[in-house]
Amino acid sequence: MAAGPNRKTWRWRANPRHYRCHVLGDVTFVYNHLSGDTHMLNLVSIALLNLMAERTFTLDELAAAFPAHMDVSADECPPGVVWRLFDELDEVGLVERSGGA
Amino acid sequence: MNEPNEKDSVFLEKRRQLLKLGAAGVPMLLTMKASAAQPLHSALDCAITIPSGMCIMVGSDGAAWISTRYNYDGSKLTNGKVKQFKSASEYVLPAGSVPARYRPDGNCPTDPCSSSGGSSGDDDEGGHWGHHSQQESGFAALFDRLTLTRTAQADDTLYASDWGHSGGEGDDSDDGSSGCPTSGGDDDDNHDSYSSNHWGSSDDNHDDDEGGSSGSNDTSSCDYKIYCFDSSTQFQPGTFIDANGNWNLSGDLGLYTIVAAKYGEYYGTYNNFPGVSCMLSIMTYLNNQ
Repeated sequence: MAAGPNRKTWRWRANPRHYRCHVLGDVTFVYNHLSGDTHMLNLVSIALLNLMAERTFTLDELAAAFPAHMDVSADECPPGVVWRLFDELDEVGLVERSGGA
Repeated sequence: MNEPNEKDSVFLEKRRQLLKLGAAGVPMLLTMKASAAQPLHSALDCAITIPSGMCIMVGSDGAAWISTRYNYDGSKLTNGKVKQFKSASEYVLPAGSVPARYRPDGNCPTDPCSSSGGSSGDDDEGGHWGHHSQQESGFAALFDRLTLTRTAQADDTLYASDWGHSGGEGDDSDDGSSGCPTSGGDDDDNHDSYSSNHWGSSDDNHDDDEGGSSGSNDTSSCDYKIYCFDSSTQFQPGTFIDANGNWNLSGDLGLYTIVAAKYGEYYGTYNNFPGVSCMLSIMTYLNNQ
């Protein structure tokens, strides 16, 4: 059974209208209006969420852009790590697909 | 959101350390579930956003193909369009996934030249637009934003009997006047280069005709029905649950709920079918009651 979408070609974003943030020190509490859940994001995951709120990304574009957004080298922040972080956000519904081929 | 002290070396170092932890697999996000003391459990309160342009094609055997990339214009379903939809589908569910009430009725005329058969043949589905047999019950308002679809009627018997000698000339008679083989029927997709065995379901007949000869042979579309959501649609599947915890699914959103639930049942959250997390949350909650 072939069921797999090609997520890499999709464009993704975070829609700030769907959540509300509250910063407490290094932790940001994000309340998701859609799920009713509150998530605790650390400095890395909130950085990714904020980056994705700026515009849409493919997963490759996200992997390329995130290290600079974090002020770290690409070696310190390889694509696999970015995609895993992305998966965490996606799993809880904080990012959404916005189009793509 | 601007991060305080973004350029601060201590701040950067913290993020570097966290990145290392992230690379090691440490979760970067923790979720706090809503309190069980809330009047409505958050698991039931979640919402699904159906991506704009999503269409669900249902086969007569209950299989489903889901795509956001197929621009269905609402015109008559043909073999070629069915094939294109399948090619564009991002998710597929096996036979038996969709309840009978959402499947095409398969009420294909046995005699396309008879007055009754012709009128219900594959040229005059205009009357089917926006008509659904399923009950809309109390959710009618939710369906206002949905467009729909239609069932392209065709006939297995017709196909079988006319296969290979449909007149084939394809006179492009889309005027709905007849599904009669000698008229050429609706040939507007005869030239699609579909293969003979792509139809999947066993009752799809053997479409071996090549292009211009298909005419009224373009019958396998009888076995498919497409439901489309024309704009980004948000709904709460929990509204389909009554006070006794039973599902009362109806309408297009009911179909989407079923498809999302089936996807979750088959694949879990793998591939992130839109809304699958919400459905799994609800089903898990209900199963624990």
